[in-house]
Amino acid sequence: MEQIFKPSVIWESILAIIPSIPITMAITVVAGILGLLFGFILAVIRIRRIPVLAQLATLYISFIRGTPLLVQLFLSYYGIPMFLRMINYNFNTDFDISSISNIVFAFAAFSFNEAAYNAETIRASILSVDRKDIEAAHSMGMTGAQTMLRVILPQAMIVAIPNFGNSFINLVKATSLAYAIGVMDMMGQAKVTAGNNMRFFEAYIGLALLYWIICLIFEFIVRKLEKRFNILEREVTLSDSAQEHS
Amino acid sequence: MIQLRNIHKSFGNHHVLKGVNLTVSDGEVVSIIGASGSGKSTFLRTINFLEPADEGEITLDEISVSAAKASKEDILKLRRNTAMVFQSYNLLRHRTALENVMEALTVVQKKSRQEAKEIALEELNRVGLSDRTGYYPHQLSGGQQQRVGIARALAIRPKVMLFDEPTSALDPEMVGGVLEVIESIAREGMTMIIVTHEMNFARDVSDQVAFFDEGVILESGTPDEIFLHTREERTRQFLQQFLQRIKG
Ligand SMILES: Nc1ncnc2c1ncn2[C@@H]1O[C@H](COP(=O)(O)OP(=O)(O)O)[C@@H](O)[C@H]1O
Ligand SMILES: [Mg+2]
Repeated sequence: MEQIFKPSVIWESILAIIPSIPITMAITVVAGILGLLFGFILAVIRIRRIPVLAQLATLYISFIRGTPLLVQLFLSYYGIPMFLRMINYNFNTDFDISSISNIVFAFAAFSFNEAAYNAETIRASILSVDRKDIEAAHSMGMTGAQTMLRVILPQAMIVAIPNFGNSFINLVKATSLAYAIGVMDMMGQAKVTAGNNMRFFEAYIGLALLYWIICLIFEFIVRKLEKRFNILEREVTLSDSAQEHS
Repeated sequence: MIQLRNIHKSFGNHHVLKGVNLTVSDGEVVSIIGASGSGKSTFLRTINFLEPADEGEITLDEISVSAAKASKEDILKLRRNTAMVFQSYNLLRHRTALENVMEALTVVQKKSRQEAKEIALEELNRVGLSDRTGYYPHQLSGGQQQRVGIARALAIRPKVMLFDEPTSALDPEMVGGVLEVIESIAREGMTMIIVTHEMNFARDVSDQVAFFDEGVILESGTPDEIFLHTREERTRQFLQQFLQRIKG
């Protein structure tokens, strides 16, 4: 009779899934970067309390945080083509909507989702920058942009990096939802592989192991970055402090 | 020359500066003394617009700015020609001592890193910190941090240095060293406005002492005029209280 559990299939599944890792990574990296960028813009809009935009930003963040990511994926998948069709109709343009790959809708949905969560992290970390340092920058005659780039962002970064690290790792895992709109990422590939040989458990174990390894690698990188950026808690070495009292 | 005319400033309906006038010639050292809460810091900070004054004229050599109508460019010009040393040092905490001193040189003055570094090392050496250039602020004592603050101010070659109680946050044993550094800069002819509670220092280093009281300069003159031939009763009271506090 047929084996109930067939470990060798795990390995076969892993081999089948590996070629789709770049898709998962593409979604992660694109959404990670765009999410930071949009998130920064949302954060600045809220900190500066720009009329109308600030209210819209708050509403947007509330909406994203209050609805399931899977629903947002479907909204992106069905909503963006509809929006483009409206543009085509109203402005006589000619976007070829059917040629847009599904992954683009995943890029959009994950970027918008990340942005909402990052906005709060960025806002809090910008607000945590000490007024004293900002005054020092102003007293030197730095412009607003120089102060932002040279003082506020670098210091906010130090505070935000652990949060960004966590949200990036969560993002890696969350991208597995993209299969729901037909993206052939790791998850989508695992589903197909399992469907072919009807070995669902083995395929998903293989998939889980792969996600785990990827997350471990990212965690390692995040820890390294944290250490590198965390100059504010770097200690004086013993010999230095001995020198100090001489 | 720096000239401040009729400076007014309110926080809400709290009228903190009520028409302050002060003229400082090149190379002159002016100390501002007075009770805490009398508006000394606020006044100093109106000079570089860390607190924009509501009214008044600020003139620094050829730069002349009317506080109420100051443009962004005016404000940047004033800030780039003055340097402030803060009570709590205000070093950039994510930069080393050296980088703190280089920052304005590279970012604002657009000097090359090489040139900025040379100037910064020279100024750090001048304040006695050659062996601490690579340290972050939190790795330095208060006295060392304040000396970095002074080096940072010197490095930009300002027309006037503004000191806001530069030794008030320091442990007593650190005060002397920092005052010595400031005194040596004063002797080299730097124009300075110093808010301080160090009366001996003010007497020794100043060309002019101004007594601040409730938002105006009530009395000003040479150190002898203020400390020995005090004219105003309020000034006398302040100085007496001060003496008692030091004795007591
Ligand atoms: N940013 C501010 N907002 C409101 N009130 C302020 C602010 N800064 C200073 N003040 C008030 O202005 C007065 C003068 O303060 P300050 O200039 O710091 O005095 P000093 O330096 O002489 O001790 C004080 O009553 C203080 O509470
Ligand atoms: Mg003060």
